[in-house]
Amino acid sequence: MGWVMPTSKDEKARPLNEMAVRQIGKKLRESFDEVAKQPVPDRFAALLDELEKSEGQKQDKDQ
Amino acid sequence: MTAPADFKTDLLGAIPNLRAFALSLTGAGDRADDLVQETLVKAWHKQASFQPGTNIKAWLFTILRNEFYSQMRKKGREVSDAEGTLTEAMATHPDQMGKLDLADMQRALQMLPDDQREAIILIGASGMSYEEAAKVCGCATGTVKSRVSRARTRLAEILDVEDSNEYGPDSVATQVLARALG
Repeated sequence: MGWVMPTSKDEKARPLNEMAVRQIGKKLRESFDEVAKQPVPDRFAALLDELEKSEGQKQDKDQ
Repeated sequence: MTAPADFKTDLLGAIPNLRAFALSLTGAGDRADDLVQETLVKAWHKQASFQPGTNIKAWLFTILRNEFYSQMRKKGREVSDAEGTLTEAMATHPDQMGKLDLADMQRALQMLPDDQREAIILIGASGMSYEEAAKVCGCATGTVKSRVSRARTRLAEILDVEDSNEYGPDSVATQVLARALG
């Protein structure tokens, strides 16, 4: 479905009440933080160790 | 140039945020972590292009975002015609908004157009400034603002919170607050 740029008239026709904005904002932050608070899987630290090692070995490798 | 050890530490420190950003974009945990992995590899090799002292989170988010879209272009979009089904499956009502969980929000985010989704995630979820988000998306600040506003309206429709005033916003707000303060 096509979204057009909202004009000020559109905004007036479809007001999003403050409560809804606040609810959505809180919910968004909560769901983001919920993931960000999870312990980081070991695979990522291992990956960075690997990258560090391989850089030491082949420094002239492209990209 | 940053010492490699510092760069590595910065990357490690950014992983929780990268995972949250990736999950919001993909809506799927396994894909999200693969995306983070790709991002870390790309970032490692692009280290020379990172200017120490600038915002590493925004820099990494940009890499992740670009990687996400390039993967999508390769694979094609799987969920684009699923919107009706998803909307129906959710059947969220105003009086249930307080019980809305992480999965509901993830599903709702997946129903937004790509540009609106990334804007609302960066601003509304990850807490970036409009200026930072504009850099990550490669667009003007005003464009980010209007995308965020449209995303909010759309999310309110999907989650059916538009008219929540009529359904006892106080109890809903209390629940949401209680969870936020958890």
